[in-house]
Amino acid sequence: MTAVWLVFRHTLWQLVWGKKILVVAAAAALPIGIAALVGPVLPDDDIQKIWISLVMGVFVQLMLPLTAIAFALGLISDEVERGTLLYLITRPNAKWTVVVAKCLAYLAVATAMILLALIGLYAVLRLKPGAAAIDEVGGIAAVAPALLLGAIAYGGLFLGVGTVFRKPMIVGVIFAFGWEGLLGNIPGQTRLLSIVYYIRIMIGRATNEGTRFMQGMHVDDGVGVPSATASAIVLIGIFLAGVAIAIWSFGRKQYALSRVQ
Amino acid sequence: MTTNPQPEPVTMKPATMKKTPAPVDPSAPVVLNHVSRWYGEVIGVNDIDVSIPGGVTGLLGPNGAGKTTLIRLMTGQIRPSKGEVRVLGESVWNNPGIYRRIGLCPDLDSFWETMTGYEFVRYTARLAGYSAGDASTRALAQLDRVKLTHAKDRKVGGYSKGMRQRVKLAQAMVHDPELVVLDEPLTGLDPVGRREVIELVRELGEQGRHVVVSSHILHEVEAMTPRILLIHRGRIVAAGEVHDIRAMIDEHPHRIEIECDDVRALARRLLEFDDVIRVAIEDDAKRLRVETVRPDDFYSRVPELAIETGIGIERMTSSDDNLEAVFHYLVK
Amino acid sequence: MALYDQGYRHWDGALSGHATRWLTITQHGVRQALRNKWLVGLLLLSQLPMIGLSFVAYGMLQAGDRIAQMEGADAAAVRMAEGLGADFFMKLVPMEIFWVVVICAFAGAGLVARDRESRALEIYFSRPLTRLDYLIGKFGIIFTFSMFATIVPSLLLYAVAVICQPTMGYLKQTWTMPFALAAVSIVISTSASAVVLAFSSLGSRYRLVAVGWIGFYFVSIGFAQMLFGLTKQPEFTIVGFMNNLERVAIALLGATVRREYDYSWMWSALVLAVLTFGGLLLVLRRVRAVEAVK
Repeated sequence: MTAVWLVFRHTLWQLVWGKKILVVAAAAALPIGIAALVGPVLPDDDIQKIWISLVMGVFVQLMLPLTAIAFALGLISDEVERGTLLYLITRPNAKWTVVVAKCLAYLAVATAMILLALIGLYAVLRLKPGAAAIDEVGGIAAVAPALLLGAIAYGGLFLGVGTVFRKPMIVGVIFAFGWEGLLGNIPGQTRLLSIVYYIRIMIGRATNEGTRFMQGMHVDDGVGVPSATASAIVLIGIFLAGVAIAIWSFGRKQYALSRVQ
Repeated sequence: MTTNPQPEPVTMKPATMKKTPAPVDPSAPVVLNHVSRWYGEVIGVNDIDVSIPGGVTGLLGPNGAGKTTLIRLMTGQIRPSKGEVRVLGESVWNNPGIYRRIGLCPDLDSFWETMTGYEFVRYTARLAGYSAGDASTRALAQLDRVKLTHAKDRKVGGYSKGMRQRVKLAQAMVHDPELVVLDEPLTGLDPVGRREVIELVRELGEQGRHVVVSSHILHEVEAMTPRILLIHRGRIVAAGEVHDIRAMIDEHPHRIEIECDDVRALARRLLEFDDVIRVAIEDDAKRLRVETVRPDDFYSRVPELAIETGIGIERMTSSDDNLEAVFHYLVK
Repeated sequence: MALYDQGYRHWDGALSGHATRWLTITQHGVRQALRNKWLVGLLLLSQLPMIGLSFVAYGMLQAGDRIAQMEGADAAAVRMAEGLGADFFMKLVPMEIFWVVVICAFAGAGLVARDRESRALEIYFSRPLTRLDYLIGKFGIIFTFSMFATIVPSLLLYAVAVICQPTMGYLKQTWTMPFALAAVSIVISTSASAVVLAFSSLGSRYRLVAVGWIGFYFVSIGFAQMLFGLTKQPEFTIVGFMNNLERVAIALLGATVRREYDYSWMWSALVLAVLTFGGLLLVLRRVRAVEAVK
């Protein structure tokens, strides 16, 4: 367990002090900036709409996949590219400890970034008269679980992608902004194959306003829509599958051959 | 895939040079049992059946010979395509526990650049299982050993190439391993640094540790250990003492090519010396091909000869004066 | 004794002119990049939207046949020009932009960054090359791939639309379309190539640059779309990189202006020009043969 803690702490340090956090911070600052910019000029009655729109539009569609691309994709592959993985795998620790530790570090940073952004957005919107309407649709508590589970699902999946593929960046971007953007918004059963759909369902079921928003987005058309619990289970399942693939692949790979010289 | 037939490894015996396969000792620290490793259609190492005994052993071979592949195999970084690698009595692939007993100094110049030298070595010690206090003590001791104490609080990213090489050595030794594997440890070091590392390797050997150190420069290996493994084109071509190699270089006729303005006159004079065993005039009548068994004597004699006879020597080259020639000789 | 001069002799043969020296960098870069199967795969994938829309066009042409039978060939040509006109080709543009972004992330992010990391800049500038030669050479590499992902599908789709027509009427109605499509491709490829090169010159690690580029692209879109979504003010979409490309493409193709683009395309053109020239100037400033190391 000491090895897990050591690698976790070191990875956390790398993520927090690395330059990639600037990209995630930009995405995190986006909803806060938009709220600060448009909040004062929009009618007070629109407060719920602003809140849900920013959660659905920025957090779900942008921040979660971007956080996973920035952090989770490179957890293993960055070490491979730098050539530093050797120092981790030639120590007397099982290889899975490296994967688990790095995954935990991602979860810690992603959770912190999402919660900070969410609290920041909430705080900015609370300055507006009539902001109590946000609490009527559950406030932070209603959307945070879905967002965090979304971050977990994307993180697990992209950890797996980053471990299995030699060029994980392409696969990650095409999945996050191609596959998810396309399938997640097409009415019908194909959207069951996207992560974003389950996150939207969870948020929609937790907030009345969200449900209305979902109807506008052709998400909640009533037939065969999974429950919030089922959606949460799917998201956790995706996470576990991603981590399992990462551990399996990491244990088998011969990284001395992978480094781009 | 087909492979060209290759000779069996030989135990070198100067003068006799019998090509007899070296017996494999299953109790040796490193045992490679008919190990082959392919990279797609390229052979990295080919049917290596050898044991590396205790003490310091030099792994010597030209660039691309398969030294790094062999080191990666014996440190469990890659899996053999065929055969088995056993290190300190254990199988090494997917066996993390073995790294308690192995220290690796890789050839890659890769670090977490923002860590200080001390943090880097301490972190690797912690990963090896030492407590925070022990890891600190060990890291400081190893940094002192590689003469990096003065720079321990500087970031590795700001280190010179020699300092980076030394900090890699420190992390390889920080957990007090039984077997230390050093891949080209002298690369990038200045003469003083080289001497220090050579001393360090000797010291490790004297302490009873097993050390495998790779290099493509004979005199570097010679300074660290008398015992070497010669690797060429993915095969162990010889195992033995360095002085045998030296003897081989000296005894094996050297080919020297000379361009001059009077090849016949020079050929006549050269044949007077007993170390010159053959002189041939090339077709263009401008070059001589000379074979000598004492190249050092020959080289010192030629300038005097040029002055004495007035023959203008325009060029003198030898493709023989390196290990490559010995390798070619051994694989004939 | 014959003595020969063994001293330095300068090469006095003919050298290629300076004007095309950048081409060496571009040619070498393109050849090197094409050895990567992933890039070849991406370039092929970037043609998928065109193939999909070709089927749509084919379906519309089937309908055109029926119109021709019922209303005559001229009427069919007019209806085809409407159906397979600017709005139809505009559907291809966002998908082209997406693939250009992905290709730029993969093949463009490392162009300068990797040279900085491996100190290859020292090798470049120890030759008779100027920073401008280097910039144009590198720009040429990513521009080539971006153009492949834009102009090829555009013109192929147009070719499909023309070839399947029963008469020449459609061609007469839409003969300016290929030029407009080429112009759109050039605008997309130039802007994306310049900006990704600027990102590449800012870092020395490919992956970090790629994340920065992807982040810039999607964050700017998110910003634009959320601002427009909440305020319904179309001018806000000017902050989105993709939105500006779309706005200019709409103007060049003569497509229907959607509500979020209800402002002069000149503003978007101005934003793209600033980003393009600003990006290229940044690369020029950042590229140095010798860099101070901390």
